[in-house]
Amino acid sequence: MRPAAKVALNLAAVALLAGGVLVVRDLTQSTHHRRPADSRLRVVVEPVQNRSEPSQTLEAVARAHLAFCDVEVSPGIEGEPQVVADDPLLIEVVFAPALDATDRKQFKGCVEDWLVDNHLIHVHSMEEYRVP
Amino acid sequence: MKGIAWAAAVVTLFVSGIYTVVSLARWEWSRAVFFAIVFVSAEVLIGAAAVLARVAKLESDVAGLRRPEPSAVEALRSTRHDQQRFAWMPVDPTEVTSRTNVFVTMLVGGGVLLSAGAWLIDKVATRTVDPRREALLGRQLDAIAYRPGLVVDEVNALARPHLQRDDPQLDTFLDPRS
Repeated sequence: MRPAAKVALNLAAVALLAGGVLVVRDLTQSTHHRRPADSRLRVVVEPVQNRSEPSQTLEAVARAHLAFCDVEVSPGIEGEPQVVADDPLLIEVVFAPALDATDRKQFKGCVEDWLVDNHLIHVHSMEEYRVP
Repeated sequence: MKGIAWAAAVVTLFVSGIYTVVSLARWEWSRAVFFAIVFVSAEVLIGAAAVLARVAKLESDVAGLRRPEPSAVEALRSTRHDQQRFAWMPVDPTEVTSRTNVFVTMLVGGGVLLSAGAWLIDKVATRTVDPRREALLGRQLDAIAYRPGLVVDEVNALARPHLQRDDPQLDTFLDPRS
């Protein structure tokens, strides 16, 4: 390989690495914005289980999972999570005020992460609305 | 096969690396940690395999340098003496007197094996006598021993002024010369 080509290849590798670091930093950096006090965010999640502990109910594990993820974002969950459907199980939580873009991403990532063995939670929907 | 292993390792490295970045972007930290562990493991595996392959190649090259010339090896093989190393084993069916060769060998070998077995048994038997077992045997013998005074021993019999014996057999027991 020619020396010039080798130098160019090394420069390209360094540029790629630096670009990757910047991209990952941009993707994982928190940028929060103040949300209106009358804004609300309704999040509906769908927990599923596979070979879970017989002594634990799916709803109880999902509530614990949501309580854990509640502390990862600034605005808290208003009230208690409500079961809106049984088959499949759907649980609704309301944030007051609504989460900003970073908090939404953080909450969704936490909810869909592998936190509890044999359990997964999918975010079914996120809907923002205003209270009168 | 080796190519398949290398391909699997490289694919694992790339896929786990991509999923690590994707999980980080989605703020799924547990998944990101898991995929990062897989990524690092694949990286270490590929690095170690590359180093070992390079070392194996060096060993092969060194062995090739030390290999003798084919002509010399051929000369050695052509002049090798084909001696029969177990000539005493074959038995001539017509020669009766030479049939004891194997028997003598088996006899000597059996003797060695028997001696080794006897030595082993002796060692094991020696190990069975220890102070604890001796004390246990002493207690058992003491339980069945005659109490003092029940039997007239030789010292007490001689210390008496007159031997009080009604049984004529006692004379022989106490003093065989009488």
